[in-house]
Amino acid sequence: MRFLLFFIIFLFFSNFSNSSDVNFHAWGGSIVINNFISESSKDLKKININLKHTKVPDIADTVKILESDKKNNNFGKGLIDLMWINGENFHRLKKKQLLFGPINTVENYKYINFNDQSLHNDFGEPVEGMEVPWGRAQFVIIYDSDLIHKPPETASELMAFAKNNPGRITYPQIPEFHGTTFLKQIIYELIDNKSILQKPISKCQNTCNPLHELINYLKELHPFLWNEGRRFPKSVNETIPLLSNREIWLTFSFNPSVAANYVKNGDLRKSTRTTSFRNGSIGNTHYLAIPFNSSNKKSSLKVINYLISPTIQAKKANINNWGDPTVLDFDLMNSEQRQMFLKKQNIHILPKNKIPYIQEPHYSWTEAIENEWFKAFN
Amino acid sequence: MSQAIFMQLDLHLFLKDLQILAPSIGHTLFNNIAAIAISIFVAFFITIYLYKYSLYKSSFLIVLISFPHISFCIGVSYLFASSGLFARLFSLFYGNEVPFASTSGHYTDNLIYIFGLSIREVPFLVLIGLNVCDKIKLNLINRQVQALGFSELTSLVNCVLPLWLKSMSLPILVVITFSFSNIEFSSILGPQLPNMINVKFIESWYSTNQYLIRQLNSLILITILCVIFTTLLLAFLRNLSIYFLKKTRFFIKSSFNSNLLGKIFYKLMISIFILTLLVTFLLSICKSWFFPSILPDTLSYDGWKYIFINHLPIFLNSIFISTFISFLSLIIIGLVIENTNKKKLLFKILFILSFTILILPQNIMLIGINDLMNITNIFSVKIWFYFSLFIYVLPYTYFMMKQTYDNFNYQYIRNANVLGTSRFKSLFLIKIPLISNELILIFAVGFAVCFYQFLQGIIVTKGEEILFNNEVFILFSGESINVASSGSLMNLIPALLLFLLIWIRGHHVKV
Repeated sequence: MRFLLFFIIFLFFSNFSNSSDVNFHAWGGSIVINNFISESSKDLKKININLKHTKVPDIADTVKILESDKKNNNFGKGLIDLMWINGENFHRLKKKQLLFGPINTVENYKYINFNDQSLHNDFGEPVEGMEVPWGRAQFVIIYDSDLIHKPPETASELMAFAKNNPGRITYPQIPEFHGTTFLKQIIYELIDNKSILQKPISKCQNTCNPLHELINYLKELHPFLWNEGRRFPKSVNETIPLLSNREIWLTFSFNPSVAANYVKNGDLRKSTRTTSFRNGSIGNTHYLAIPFNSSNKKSSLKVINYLISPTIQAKKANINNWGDPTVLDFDLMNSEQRQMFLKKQNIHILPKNKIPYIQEPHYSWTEAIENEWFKAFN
Repeated sequence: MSQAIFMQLDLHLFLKDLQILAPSIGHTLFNNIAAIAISIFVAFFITIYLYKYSLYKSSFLIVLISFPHISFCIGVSYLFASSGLFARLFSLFYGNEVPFASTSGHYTDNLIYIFGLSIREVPFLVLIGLNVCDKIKLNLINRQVQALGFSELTSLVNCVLPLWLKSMSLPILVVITFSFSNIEFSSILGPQLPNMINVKFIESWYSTNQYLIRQLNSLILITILCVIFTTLLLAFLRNLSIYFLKKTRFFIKSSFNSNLLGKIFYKLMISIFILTLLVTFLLSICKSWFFPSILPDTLSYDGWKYIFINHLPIFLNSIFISTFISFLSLIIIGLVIENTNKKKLLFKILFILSFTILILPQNIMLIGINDLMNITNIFSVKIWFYFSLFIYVLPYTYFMMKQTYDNFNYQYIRNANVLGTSRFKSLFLIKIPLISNELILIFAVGFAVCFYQFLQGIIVTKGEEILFNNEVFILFSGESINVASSGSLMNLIPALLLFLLIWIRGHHVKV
């Protein structure tokens, strides 16, 4: 009885002792990533920081909280200290002045190449120190090599594959970001003048109508999708069990190395391989930012500094952990630091530099693509 | 003038939304009405079977009630997926190495939704239905009808069913409002493109898209209208069938064995629950279990390990919160009922409040609480979270406590008063020991209700404060079935243990 009482008291107090908490809002849909954040949290305890991972299904929800905070004049007691963002969410936060910064003053920022524009432009929006690069991504195709000997690597090959193998491919339901990226990738594949996607959609007038082409393509594709395009997985992770059980034969990811981790954990078969759209696939950078009303900005900066340090970036790039490519410039590191990034080749992952990167379309395209999809299919 | 235009514009937008959302509304109404009708039908026959043959078996129902909605939905989805257990069993005979291409569309999704929701609601309806049988003196009616030379089925359909249905109005209303506000069934098992309105509700709530945010107003109104429509329709159907049975005296000569039907339904329901549990358990202990294997290829406890390492704090926190809320609710309701009588205003307010909470769709109620939180801007999110959990435990505690007090034999207290014992002493030395079993059961129900709340973490706190139940839902959309299944099983352990203990102690369940 006494033990129970102590236990309840312990739980009660453990619940309220949060003096150096950093509340980190980050997408919580991947166990691999959650594990990495959890490991980092253990490390950070050594410098007296309690990194609490709030697993959000979509970071847009966090943006809404910050907007509401500003409306309610909550300027200093915000519940969110750090967030993982990019794209239209960053643009929205920057435009509404909901970010604290510049934050590119952290010590380890020195390892980031000032001239690499892919790090300093987020979906066409200049970063201007309001967020710090954390990792890179490239859109890839993960497939079962026992069932597909020559995977589709263009939009037309994908269409042909779907027609020859009805019900064996799908993509996450829009507006899930992997699903939206798939649609962006298809637009890139379908149009000749790719540069229009780098400009705001408002610049695209009558004669330029890539969205129309996209919807026509999808209307042709959907009857051959999993469940005849009448049901979509809610997230890209939901496609992993489908791929492992061969309900579908290929899926997509934003991480060129993630398949190796899934195979290691037994979530995917050993016959799993990774490829991508051979004419180039969308690559982007993801960032860390501090909200304007974080109540613990000092500790948040320390966390950012820790997360972009060469040791942790190397740990993150390791396929046994997360496998997320680094944002640091090898030329700015010493040989000992560079050594940490050397990795063994793995048959399940996309070899480095095999597929050229294509820049994300301007952020204004995202909502337009999603709206068109909703109009056509929802 | 401007106000009038504004109202007109609103109505115009509502009608436009109604037109756009018509397919969603159609799916939602059809699925929910079908699921409720089936669950009432099945529940009636199981109730009759259990009432006649074994009350001991009926107490097992409370174990089924402790099965969380999310875990049940996940289990059902594992059974019916194209590479699920049934497909694997089929492949044993057919010999296919690759699952058939999934072409299930709305029809299959609707069927699975109806199946899942109706089976899940049966234990709740049966548990209350058994007490209704007590109240309407079912055995006496049966004996009377049989003495007049009619079959048992005649008694059940013509005499018992009308009485039973009338007494079941409140629980059926609770099931109706749950059907239109749940997110677990509609999101995991329900159809997509278009989604059911329950899912659209949450999509709009979370959306940053102005059009969807505005659509939320229409969705609130549509949900209320759907609940009213379903209630009226089911009431109409009930009255129509009673009228029809009275007029035609249908079944009057039938000698069909209704108990056999009840027995089949009962066994089928138990089998579905056990099968769901079994598949989830096997998935939780496998490293990989690829199609078409009937049993896991390799075993591993990694999923459990992951849950213990990463989710133990929130699991313990949820237990702590649920214990605290259930205990608080027990104390408050106990104090109110102990110190008031049915004529006092406070008692009446409590009754109206409990009733309103039960019949108002939860998503709408919680949006109201969220608005209140934002407008008043007092107290932390945590306090509002606890509050929103508390108000959903309150009705269950109230109705169960009220029944306990109603059933209590006050002669003991009067005897103690005659002997000069103080009220305080009578309460602690006589009343509480005598109703201790019921109090434990009320606490357990309150605990389970709180532990399995889901929408609070989504609507009130927008993910800022959540329960373990919410974490399980997130895990289900993750890449590892193994981890999701471990989480799903861990989710049912606390309430299951609590109810198993009560069951083992041999309580006669009264709700």
